[in-house]
Amino acid sequence: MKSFIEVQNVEMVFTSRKGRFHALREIDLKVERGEFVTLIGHSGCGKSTLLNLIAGLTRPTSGVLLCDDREIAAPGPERAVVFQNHSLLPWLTCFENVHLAVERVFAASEKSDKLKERTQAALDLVNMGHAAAKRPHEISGGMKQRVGIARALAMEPKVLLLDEPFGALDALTRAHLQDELLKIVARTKSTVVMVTHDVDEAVLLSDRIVMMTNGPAATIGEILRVDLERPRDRVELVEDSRYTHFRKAVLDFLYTRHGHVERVAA
Amino acid sequence: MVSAVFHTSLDTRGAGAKSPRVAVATIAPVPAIARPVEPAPPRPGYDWRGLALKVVPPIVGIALLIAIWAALTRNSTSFPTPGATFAEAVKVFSDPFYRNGPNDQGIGWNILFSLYRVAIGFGLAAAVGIPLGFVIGRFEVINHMTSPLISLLRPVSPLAWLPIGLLVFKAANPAAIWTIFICSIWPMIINTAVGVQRVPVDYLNVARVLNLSEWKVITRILFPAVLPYMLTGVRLSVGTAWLVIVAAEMLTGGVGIGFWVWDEWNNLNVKHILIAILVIGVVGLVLEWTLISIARRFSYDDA
Amino acid sequence: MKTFIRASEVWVPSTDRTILEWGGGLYRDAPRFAAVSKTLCFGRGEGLPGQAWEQGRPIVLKVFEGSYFRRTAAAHAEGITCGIAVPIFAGDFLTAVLVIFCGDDESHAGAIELWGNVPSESADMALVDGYYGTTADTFEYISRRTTVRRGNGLPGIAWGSGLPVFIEDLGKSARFLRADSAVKVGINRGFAVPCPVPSDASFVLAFLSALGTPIARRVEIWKPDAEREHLHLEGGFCEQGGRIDPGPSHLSLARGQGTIGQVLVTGVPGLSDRAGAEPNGWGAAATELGLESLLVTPIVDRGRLVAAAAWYF
Repeated sequence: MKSFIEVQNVEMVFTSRKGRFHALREIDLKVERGEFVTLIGHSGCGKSTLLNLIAGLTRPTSGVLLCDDREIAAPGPERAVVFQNHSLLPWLTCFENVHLAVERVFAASEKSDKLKERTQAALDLVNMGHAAAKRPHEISGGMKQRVGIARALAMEPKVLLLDEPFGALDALTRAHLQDELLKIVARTKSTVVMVTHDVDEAVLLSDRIVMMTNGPAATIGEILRVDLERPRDRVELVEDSRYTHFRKAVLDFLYTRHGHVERVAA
Repeated sequence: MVSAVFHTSLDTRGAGAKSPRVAVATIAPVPAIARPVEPAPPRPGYDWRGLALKVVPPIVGIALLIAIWAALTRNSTSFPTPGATFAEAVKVFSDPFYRNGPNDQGIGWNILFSLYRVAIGFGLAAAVGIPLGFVIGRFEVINHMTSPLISLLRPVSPLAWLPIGLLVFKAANPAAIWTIFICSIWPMIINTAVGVQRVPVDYLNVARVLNLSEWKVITRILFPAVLPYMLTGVRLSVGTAWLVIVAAEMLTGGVGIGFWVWDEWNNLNVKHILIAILVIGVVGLVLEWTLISIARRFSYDDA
Repeated sequence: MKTFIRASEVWVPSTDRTILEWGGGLYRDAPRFAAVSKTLCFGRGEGLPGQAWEQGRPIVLKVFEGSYFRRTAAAHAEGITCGIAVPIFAGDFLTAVLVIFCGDDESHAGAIELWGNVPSESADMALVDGYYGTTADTFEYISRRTTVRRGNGLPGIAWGSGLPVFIEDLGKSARFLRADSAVKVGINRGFAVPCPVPSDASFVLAFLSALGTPIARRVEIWKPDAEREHLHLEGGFCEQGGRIDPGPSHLSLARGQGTIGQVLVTGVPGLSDRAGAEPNGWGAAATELGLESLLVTPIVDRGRLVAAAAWYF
């Protein structure tokens, strides 16, 4: 049975003037449609590289990546990316930023009124409808990231790829946006692959947590299936012992078994 | 604090017997608190101090200069005094647009002609330099091809290009324009190229994920991102261009402010030379200010 | 010291290969169970050993009532609560079935997990089944939801290397071993043994123990040399002495020498209830440590013995 996203025996080696850097080794991963998968690991474990490979922004040195049975050869709107650095174009308003994406995907088949509707709907989905006419420098970091998510969702992608989307935000905004993301994903039934280094975030949001070993030549170490029922409420889960177990399992992997690089393997 | 503000404003207006108003004012602040808090500087009156700081020192400086000038030329026969120069200036500016012949026209016409030449040369430099800068910035190969050439030609004084212009075009006007062109093009190319290279990778990644066509990438992403750099290049060029046109015109003659300076030197009309210096300076300043304000309008705070 | 492993036995196919016959066993303090077991034989698919033969892969049996298990009453009488059957193959031929019985009670607990991977289906090794006895739910809860990759985690390392592996400190922070215990005891020791089978699937049997309730009193990992004439001690763990370093060459065991050396010859598990009689100084060392019996099982991959795992009780 074919999975929605398949990463088959992927290796990633970067060659630069400074020499070769073996980023990823023997990566095999299957993501099912509608799944929320998190990639977690220490810095330098190649999780962002893996996300870029799935996005098509990088080509693997060897191995194959498939999305919906087709090889991932280049980036495209069906694998929308939300960058860590919101990446909103500062000379466009929020509306125009999202519209750029909508136009790209739907202009060929829909009239401009419909495009405008779509744009506004996407902004409303992330509760940024009221700030459509503002420019990025006029809104806060959390709002910018929301618009980034709106832009990605507006393209109705097959897969939503998030690269530490909340990393640059303060804890409260992060919590708020995590909750919103949960609601949005529930509504759109998107397939999501997210990179994070935050254990709580991973347990709260994911269906599966892919834990990566330390780089260089990092690979997938263990995968934890988080089958807590949805919708998940962060306040309730704090009391749930299962949440604690999952959290501990990930922490064990990251900090006890794959601690700082200096620790010698057992 | 809000009530204090109300207090103060009422105080400065000297409204002593307004206690009932004050009472109302202290109750009224409730809706004011609901407003988003903006840092409200106390504005009891106009910011006289700031204004004074900005305006008074320059005036003092200029006055000092004129005073020194007057002092130095008090007993001079060759160099005019400020007073005499001012009187002459009045005469010159009273009829700026007269035409007595092709080589004798009002100062207004001279300035306009010079500006016209700058505009053409400048415009051509922009039309050639900016697209070239784009291409150099975008394609590494072309960058390597052109960069030694640019490094070689850039330090050459624009006036050294003038004889070539005269040789090729055989006329003063095109030669002057050519000189403007060759001197203003370098900052435009270089700044545009740098701007293109400095476009944040994130924006280009956005373009890649959206699968935008190359044309769309250039117009919707590269061009706006590079605009601030381009405008910097333009701003740097305009100063040099104005400088060069005056010198070029001195050498080629015809109509123009530079020519006028040289002509007045031949007539030993020092007052007119001084007036010309002032005019050249003022026009240069105005050009820069215009471009700065345009640049500001097109910049956006990246956060 | 009571150990989690309570009894072990070896079943070998009869000469006509229709039934499995008793080939020896260690039943230290379970005499009734021993008595019953010695009299039995199993056809293919019958009883626990027969099932392992039939299915061609290791089996963990936790619930004896109402299953194919034939010694339920005896097991219950001796406090035996779990049976693990590991078929040993030479190529496609079954050469023996090793059955290990564990029992936990109020004062002793451990866990045994069987992990498996089918390469054509997945790159993950997942928990096939596990016996968690009186350990708290946490451990099982997480293990059931975790998959490991080759080279990662206790089963993953055994899978990747194809050799038994002992990890003294699993690096899992202390988890409740018993829900009712006032003292937090962590599962911290693991001994994983690969169980090669004829199909391309990979299985690893992981024995997990906690401080004070060891799986066995001593575990050893032996490897053959290149000529397959000697077995060298690679490492292991002794409850009394701690980590065991690789043994010096003069302490190797030659083919046929002692119970362990015999395994190199026969390719089937060996048992001895007199650990003190082992040759080449090993017997004397065992006596000194108070070890009474030993069980040795070969790891046979595609017909070749790649390692042997030994448990001392």
